[in-house]
Amino acid sequence: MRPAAPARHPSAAASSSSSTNSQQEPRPENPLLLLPSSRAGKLSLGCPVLDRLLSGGLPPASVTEIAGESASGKTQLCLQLALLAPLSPLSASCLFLHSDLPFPLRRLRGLAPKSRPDLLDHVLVAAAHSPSDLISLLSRAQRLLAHPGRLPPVRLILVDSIASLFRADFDASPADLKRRSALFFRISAKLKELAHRHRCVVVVTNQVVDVVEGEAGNTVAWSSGRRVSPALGIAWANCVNTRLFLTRDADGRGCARRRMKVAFAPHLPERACEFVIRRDGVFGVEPSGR
Amino acid sequence: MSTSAAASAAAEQQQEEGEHGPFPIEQLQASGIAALDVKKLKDSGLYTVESVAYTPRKDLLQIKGISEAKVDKIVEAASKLVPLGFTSASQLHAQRLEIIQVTTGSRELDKILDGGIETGSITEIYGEFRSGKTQLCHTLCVTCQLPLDQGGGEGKALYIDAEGTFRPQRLLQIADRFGLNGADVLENVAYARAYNTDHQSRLLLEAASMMIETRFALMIVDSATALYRTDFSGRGELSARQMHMAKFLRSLQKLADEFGVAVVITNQVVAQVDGSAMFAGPQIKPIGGNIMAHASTTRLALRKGRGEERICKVISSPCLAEAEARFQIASEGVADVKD
Repeated sequence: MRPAAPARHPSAAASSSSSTNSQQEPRPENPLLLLPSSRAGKLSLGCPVLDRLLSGGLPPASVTEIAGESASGKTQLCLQLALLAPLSPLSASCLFLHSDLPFPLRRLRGLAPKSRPDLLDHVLVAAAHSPSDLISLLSRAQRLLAHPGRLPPVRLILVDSIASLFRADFDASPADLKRRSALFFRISAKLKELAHRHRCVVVVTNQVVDVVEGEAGNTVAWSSGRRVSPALGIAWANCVNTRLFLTRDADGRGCARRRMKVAFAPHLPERACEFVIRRDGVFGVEPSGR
Repeated sequence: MSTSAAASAAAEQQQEEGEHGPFPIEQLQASGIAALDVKKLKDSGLYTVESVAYTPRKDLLQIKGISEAKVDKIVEAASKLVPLGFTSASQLHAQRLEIIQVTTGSRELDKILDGGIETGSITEIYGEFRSGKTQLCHTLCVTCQLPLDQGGGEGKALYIDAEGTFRPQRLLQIADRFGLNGADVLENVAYARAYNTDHQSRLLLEAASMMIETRFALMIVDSATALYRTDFSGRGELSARQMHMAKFLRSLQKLADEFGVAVVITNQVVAQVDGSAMFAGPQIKPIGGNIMAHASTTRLALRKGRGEERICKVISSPCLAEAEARFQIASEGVADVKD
């Protein structure tokens, strides 16, 4: 005999009835219904080699982090994704929240195909100046996702970068570190809610810190001849679903050699592949000698 | 003279209001904010409506004499003037058609920079001593005053000197080359010597108050990291040093974006001793580590060539390929190499 449903508070019931369909209380779902076909809904990176590394592209309803040192290709990849969202089968708009000033508009225009000048209309840009600013922007984003107006629905949210917001605004005192960690989880919860509710692909970029001594406990990789780890520590590592690590090293001829590595993901094995940045975008390199 | 100056200032004010420039903070008085409160905001280093809108609410509450109710009123007034939501990239492009580049004095160097030093962002120049960093900064102080059609910025220059290497006589020599009046050139350079890292940060507040009064095209910090090497020492202070540097660079980013100035910072280098045994990469690297690397929009490395020749390499930039260019340092400043 099932127990009676818990009685709702009258005001809660009233607000529940007045809210839109998308605001309904989440209910338990049959896991079988959550299984999409392996490629449906994923956002391609625009290159079959990189898509193969990620088993079809970036998953929706999920937060993917791209971490790497300066000049490793994080922003280039974000700009490419921003232009791919309208072009992909998703035919979606994109929100680009940037914390580094200025927004790299020249490069975005350089990447956009000449035949589609309208693509820039589908990239919505906002500058986040502080962590609280980012939280309020995500609240605005929620309204935009629910009511896109004349735009195609938003299916991609990019945050470039999450680290610079926190590196400049906090001191090393215990109180500030506590507040900082609390903000990590608030922002992460907001991003995951947006991702899940609207089946968005959420991409967040992160910077790195040097691993000076001992075992870091966090992801560690070699880049530019030293050991680096994603910034913001272990607390933030628990806020993302997937972590892609970009590294770069100089090869014998002094050119940059870039690699993308799956550090962790619930749906992917640990693997890596090389990539290059060209005038027309970011592309994977087929492993040689196969 | 004063009449024409006033007319020019009025015309400039009119033009500025039509454009997308920052709003002076006095604009808030039209929204009902008391003049006394506006003065308190200015005393705290906030000179534009944009800077108020971008400041976290908790920071506004720290200002003495500004109550919580007043903060709400101020934030509401600022939000009406400054759009804080989403803008499409095409609208952003329409707003930024006016982004200009300042020539370096060398056509070959301008070529790899796609026109020159970009305004509205931070360009970092690093290299060893005597690699041309300060000479390039001196040349930019003059070229930023040139008319737009000559590759200039039609604005003043602000020079924060942490190393004591600023030489006004060099500006006079370079001004001769470009046909500019030497006295006017010097008048258009605002110079400040920085003595410690806190002083260096406070100078940015004064920079904002100067930039709201008149048009600046260039801001130079030579060197951005020298004082950090003296003020902070040892592994124990590394964390505090990096956090202080992060705040400083963040302030620079905001200045560049808010006033559309080209911010050029120079950086020193350090020998790489740990990893050199394993990798055959570069033996020197810039100071400041990841904080400095991530904050710079464009990163240029300078090194010595033969004689007075120097080589500049684009290390990282969102829209420039990795490329190298040769230039020369002559009595007239940075110039092309004469083969």
